[in-house]
Amino acid sequence: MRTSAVLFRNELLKATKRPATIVTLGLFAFLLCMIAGSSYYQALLHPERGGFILPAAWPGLLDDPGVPSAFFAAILLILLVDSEFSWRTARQNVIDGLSKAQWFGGKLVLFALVCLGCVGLHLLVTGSVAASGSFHIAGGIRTLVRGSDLRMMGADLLMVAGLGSVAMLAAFAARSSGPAMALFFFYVALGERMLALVLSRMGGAVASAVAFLPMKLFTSLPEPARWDPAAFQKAVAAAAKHGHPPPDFSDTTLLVWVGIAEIVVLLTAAFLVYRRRDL
Amino acid sequence: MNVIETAALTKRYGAQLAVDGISFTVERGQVFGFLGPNGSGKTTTIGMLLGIITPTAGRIRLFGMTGRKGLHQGRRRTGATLENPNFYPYLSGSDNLRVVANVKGASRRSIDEVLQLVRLADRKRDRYQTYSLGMKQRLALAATMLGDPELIVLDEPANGLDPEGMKEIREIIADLAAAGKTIFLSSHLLLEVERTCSHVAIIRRGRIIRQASVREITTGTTVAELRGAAPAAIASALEAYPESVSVQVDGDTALVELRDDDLAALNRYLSGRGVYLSHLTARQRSLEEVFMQLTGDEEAPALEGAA
Ligand SMILES: Nc1ncnc2c1ncn2[C@@H]1O[C@H](COP(=O)(O)OP(=O)(O)OP(=O)(O)O)[C@@H](O)[C@H]1O
Ligand SMILES: [Mg+2]
Repeated sequence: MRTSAVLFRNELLKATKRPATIVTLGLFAFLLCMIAGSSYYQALLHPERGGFILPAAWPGLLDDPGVPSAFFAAILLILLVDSEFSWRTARQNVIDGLSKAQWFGGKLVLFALVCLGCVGLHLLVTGSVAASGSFHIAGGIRTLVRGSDLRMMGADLLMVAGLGSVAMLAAFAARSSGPAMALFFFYVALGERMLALVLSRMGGAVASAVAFLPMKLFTSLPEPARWDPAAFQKAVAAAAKHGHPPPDFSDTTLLVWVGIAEIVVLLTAAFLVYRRRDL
Repeated sequence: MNVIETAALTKRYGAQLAVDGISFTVERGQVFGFLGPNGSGKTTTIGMLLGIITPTAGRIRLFGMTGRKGLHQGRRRTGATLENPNFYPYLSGSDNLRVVANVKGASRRSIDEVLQLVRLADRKRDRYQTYSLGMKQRLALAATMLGDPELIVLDEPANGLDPEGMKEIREIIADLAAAGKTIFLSSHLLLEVERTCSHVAIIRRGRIIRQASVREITTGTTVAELRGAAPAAIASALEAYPESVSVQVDGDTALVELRDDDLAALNRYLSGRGVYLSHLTARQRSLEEVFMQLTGDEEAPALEGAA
């Protein structure tokens, strides 16, 4: 118990005093302000579209920066983890009395802090812009969030944690932030597609695993139509218009559990890679 | 009680044997110098003691404990640095020590105390990256003292310091030793070890070639320095002297290594053979001479910073 408190205090101190954290989160907040601000502006221009009112605005706010919002968490994790290796503080922390497992535990604390911090910032910034929009346009907020919004927020957190754990594995494999980012973005932009191509060529059960590759799985989770009834109706209508079969989201529960399992596997792999090598 | 004990400790990097079957013991209260030239395996050995380099073979005991758990417990009673000081450059000196103190369970007050000891109190709010090398070394020393460890392990604590800085480090180490701590330090500087340490192990190419107390090594035998009108006659008379171990002639000076330290007897013996001296003194062997003898001249560590 004492150890977890120590790890939490130290990770919080190191992360919050780090200029890189402030810059990364600052950029993320700026991006969110821009996006939410422009939605607000559109809503003022076209009040007939239903506008920028909570809670109906949540799915759009959560979906809008999309996958890139997870990249901020990934970059921050790589920067914070790998600088411990380049400054050799990873080594010194162990010399000072943490076991290697405890040290890794500290990085799990950091992982949780960064994922929750990024999603929290997202909700806070876009939510407060939308709240002021709601007051301005509708004169108040009757309901702040609905159950479906909360579930979608959870899915968003799962996406950030999922891509974050890919970044953790890259960070521990490379132990240097430049190569780790190269590794991460290569996988996210290209590597997984190449892998998917190979798997789908093999056909059968192997080909169906493509849907469970981390990037594909985690980025498809926070889709609004998966969680929000209104968005779902829209998707059904759009599919009908183009003569497509209606979208099927019956796999959502399965994807959530597989996603959680993948996070556990990726973080465990990061630990094994870390433990095997000398500091 | 043995604070550190190693048996046949070995580390192999590919074809390279960085540490080759090292066995030594450090007892409570000793200031133990681990002396060797660059690349001889000092850092690798200390890294294994501290648990951040996995040994290829061999055993380690700390405070009599071994095994993953036992060594972890022993390491929690140890304060240590390895190679260069390692700190977070963007944090202040005192924030860096806060990180260490949290891990070691040391109090906030002890941070100020150790900063005072290493004379960094007035710079504690400045970021670490603005510190000079000497200040970084002193902060590292301060960090090792947090949590009041029984054993302090320092890898080249005087590395890169000027004579004044080395003197300060020496004084701090002397204070720690006086407070009853066991100290294990590595160095490639003979004079530093000679001045600081009570015991020494000399390491070369991954092997310990001599281990003893500094006094034992430097006063094991007496070397007498002789000059007179006829150096050749002095030398041949010395060869015949029963107590002489070896004789060397260096210009007009003859050096003789004696089994005893009775110079009066030597003088009587020589004058008895009609050899008269203009000069006769005993010379204490320095660690450097022992080192040279053991390792060969090209391996002699630097004498720099001999303040
Ligand atoms: N990670 C590593 N991989 C390969 N070889 C290594 C590694 N670390 C050390 N060595 C080798 O092991 C030998 C001993 O190195 P070590 O750093 O222990 O020497 P040292 O006595 O501390 O030297 P110095 O006085 O220069 O600090 C050297 O030949 C070095 O090249
Ligand atoms: Mg070294």
